[in-house]
Amino acid sequence: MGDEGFRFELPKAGIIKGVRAQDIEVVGEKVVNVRVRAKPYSNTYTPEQLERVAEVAERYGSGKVHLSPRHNLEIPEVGSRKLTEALQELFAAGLQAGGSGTSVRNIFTCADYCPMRVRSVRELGAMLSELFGDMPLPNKFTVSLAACPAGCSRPWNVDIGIIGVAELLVEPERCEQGCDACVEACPVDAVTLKGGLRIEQERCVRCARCARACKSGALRMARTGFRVVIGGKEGRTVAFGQEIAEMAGDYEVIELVDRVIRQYRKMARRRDGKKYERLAEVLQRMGGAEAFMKG
Amino acid sequence: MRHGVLRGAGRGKVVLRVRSSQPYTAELTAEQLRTLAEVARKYGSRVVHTTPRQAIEVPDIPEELVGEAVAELERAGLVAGASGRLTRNVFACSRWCLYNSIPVAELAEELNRRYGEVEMPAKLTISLSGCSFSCSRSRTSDIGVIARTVIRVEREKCIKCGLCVNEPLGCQVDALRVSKEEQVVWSRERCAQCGFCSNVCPASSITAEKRGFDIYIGGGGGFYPTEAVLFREFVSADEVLEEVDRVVERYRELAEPGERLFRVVERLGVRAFG
Repeated sequence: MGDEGFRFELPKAGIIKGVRAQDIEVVGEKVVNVRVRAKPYSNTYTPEQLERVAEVAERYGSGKVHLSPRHNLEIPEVGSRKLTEALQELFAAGLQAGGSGTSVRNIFTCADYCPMRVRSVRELGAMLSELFGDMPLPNKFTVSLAACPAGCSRPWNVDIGIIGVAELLVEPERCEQGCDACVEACPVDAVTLKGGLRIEQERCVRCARCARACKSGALRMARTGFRVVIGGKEGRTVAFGQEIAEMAGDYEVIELVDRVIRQYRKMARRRDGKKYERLAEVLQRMGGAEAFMKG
Repeated sequence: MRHGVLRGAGRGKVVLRVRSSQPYTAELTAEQLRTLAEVARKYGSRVVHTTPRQAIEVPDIPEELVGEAVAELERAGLVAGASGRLTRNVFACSRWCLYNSIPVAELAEELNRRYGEVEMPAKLTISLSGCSFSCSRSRTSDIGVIARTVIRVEREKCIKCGLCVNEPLGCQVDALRVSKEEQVVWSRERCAQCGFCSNVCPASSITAEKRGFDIYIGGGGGFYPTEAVLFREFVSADEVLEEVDRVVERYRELAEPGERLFRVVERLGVRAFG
């Protein structure tokens, strides 16, 4: 009785062993880096959150903050004795430690305000984060969402890449001769106007930049969805994702992510040593994404 | 439009992209965070986005207030840029990471100083990784620099403490084996050359024999995911600067306007860069 105050459990993820930049000896105290992200999920920070990170970095760390490659903010050089206090202060500002170890890392999404966007990924990213964020898995697992095939959030080099794509409606007879806005806009030279408007399907990456540029209505977006690729990675070795869906809707994507994660749990084996395989290795062993999804 | 000012989703509103010039790109000071917060509050929509290349974006700034916002950020050592044909932020991993073979923070700072404000034939990405695990995606950038350590193992010195193999500090790729009965065994083939074991070993049984950087060129993400090819092996930090200078110089000579570096590598081969 009497102990009804706020209980704070140290999170398992997001506390990373660190070093001091200036070789300061810390006796009896470990130095860690605290990796945080916004909770509930967001790929942006509010002014208040940034100010809180600044405050915590000054009070418990070295006044510096590192930007991670996956949206996280890392506060380095925090002493382990004051860790709980630091985390509590961050937590109160809607910042939670996470995104490390053998688990689902921070869901990575591109900026919602980008005008190149084909299909928004913010809501879907938030949902995926809610469902799968920090879930322990055989090895590190990364999920990235890109709102268009330009893929600023690197969907080709992660375990699951989700890429917004558009299906085009092409009506060559509406094309006004003399304008080549679509040709200019296309990043992969897939549009030709010689002998009438035509899209080379093999080259087209479905980014719909041509449709955005077209003034006459000859090129329009028919519908949008997500291309899903799995088994990519970057780091010591590089692998590019293999397609498992061409044009999936939001719920289909969630279902697919769930299936891939279940399959990965079932199929991942220990390497010759003790660590488990990454998804890329599982796919390689099983002979590709199709066999993996069936297996 | 000026560098670092990007078209946004709303009419008359722009996105301001900045990167830190003090001390370098991947780090922000508490003061810089406060300035960003203030600018997002005063000119934007109370939102700050961190980009995949460690730049920072403040969206929804009215076009007519961009000058003011930029001036405020610049006073805090945050410069508008990293867009269009400028070199993107030199991407660097954390100087506080335990796994650093060679920390790359200072190298990143120098490269940013050299190329941060310089127009290129097209967008140019440079990434630096302090160890071979390469969190900063050096193998899918135009120019990637990756540190590694070749270790020396003196088996007879091993005290069988297990630090180099057990969680949480042990080898990430199972290249070492130690047990109560057996002194350390090293698998050269499996070794990722991160060198972490040489930092951990208390008995100097595992030591760093030499450290250096590998340089990769011609990688890319986005529309054309491309793996970079090895350009130089095991060079020093000073040589990295020389070699990057050389690659950039050749790139400017060889590229058509608007042609990415990885395209030039594809077209002419890595040998064209010397």
